Amino acid sequence: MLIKELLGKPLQAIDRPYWAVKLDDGRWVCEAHTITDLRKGEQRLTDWTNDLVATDDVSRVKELWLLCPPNRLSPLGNTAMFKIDRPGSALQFKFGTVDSAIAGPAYKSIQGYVIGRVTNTEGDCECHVWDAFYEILGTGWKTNVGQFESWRSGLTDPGALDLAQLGITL
Amino acid sequence: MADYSSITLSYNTNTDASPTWGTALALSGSAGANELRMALTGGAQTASTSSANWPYMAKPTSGTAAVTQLWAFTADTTGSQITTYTGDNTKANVLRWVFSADGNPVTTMTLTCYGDNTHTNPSAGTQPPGTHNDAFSNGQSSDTSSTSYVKGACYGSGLTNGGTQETPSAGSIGSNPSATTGSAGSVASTAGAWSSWQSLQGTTQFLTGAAIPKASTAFNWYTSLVIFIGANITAGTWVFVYTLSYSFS
Repeated sequence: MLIKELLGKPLQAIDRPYWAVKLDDGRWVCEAHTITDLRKGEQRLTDWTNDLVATDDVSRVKELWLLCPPNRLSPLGNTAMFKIDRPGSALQFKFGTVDSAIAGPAYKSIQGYVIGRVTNTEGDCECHVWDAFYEILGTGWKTNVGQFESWRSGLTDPGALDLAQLGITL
Repeated sequence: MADYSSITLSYNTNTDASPTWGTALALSGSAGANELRMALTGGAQTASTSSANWPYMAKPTSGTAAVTQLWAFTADTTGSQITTYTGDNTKANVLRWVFSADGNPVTTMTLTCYGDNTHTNPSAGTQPPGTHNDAFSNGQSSDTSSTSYVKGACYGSGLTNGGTQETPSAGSIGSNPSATTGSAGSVASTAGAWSSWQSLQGTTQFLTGAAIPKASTAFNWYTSLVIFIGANITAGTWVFVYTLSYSFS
């Protein structure tokens, strides 16, 4: 019931993952929520940097979820979650590519949806990743926010994450 | 989510000193549309040649040679020659990635080549290429020392973290690359400067921008290519992709 409230539809009806967080006051914030951006005068999905980091709600995150669409292995969809014990240790980003072809049409696509938590002051982190190409949820990927390594052979490493944009404190 | 709503590749159809940036190659499209095409000077290619009728390039009987022309087609029979692509390092304003103003990048960006959009790593030096690989990004031991036949360079990161657009002056880019140019891993640009030329071969050899561009700002990231062809490349009809990778919140 909670997932349906967060997404506005059942888990098996979504076609891409969304992140969701539970804050220390019990309130939930979900990427799937459409909000009105008064600065831009437009409606958009909830944004990690603009709506969690800018408000410092990111430091109040207690649970970080990735709500994933159905795939062959999980026809009802799937979820993954981290408990966040230290403020500023939650992370979330996406990895995308644009292919301009010689010869053939160009494509822009999101390759991965990542959530994670930083586990020490050196920046080590553990992550859950929805691989959008293979449509599979991978859990327990361990890397470092100072040189984030790709979870899939063939993709270049994302590299050092912008800690300020993501609201990460070491 | 703060993805860029648009990232496209644009190209220069005029001179290096007075560039005219052509209609950016849109994402997707029907066969023959929104694609780059290689050709050799003296071939039968024109601005209205369809993709299916695009002339083959004759590979050299020995050694390697630069591909001397690059064209951009917005429709199957509607194209323009990228006039500043000359198969060498002499022009700066050749290609640029065009970003919309709505992205929140959280890492530096990378540029490389693959056989197709499965992003299967090229198999260095392997001819003929296997599934999801291509002859150009694989390279070949005698022709390219197993680096890619495709070399690239990039200028800064396009936009500094402080929000300054980085635009190169007309003129040459570093030292002219050879068919064997390339080094393992990443070659990174520095702020307001061209990177060295690098082989573009998946995650084996690639380019990295100098910095994380400022969020929510439109910008152009200038880049150039030099493509080689060699006596030992496998003949055929090859497609490969020039891939930009990025992360956003």
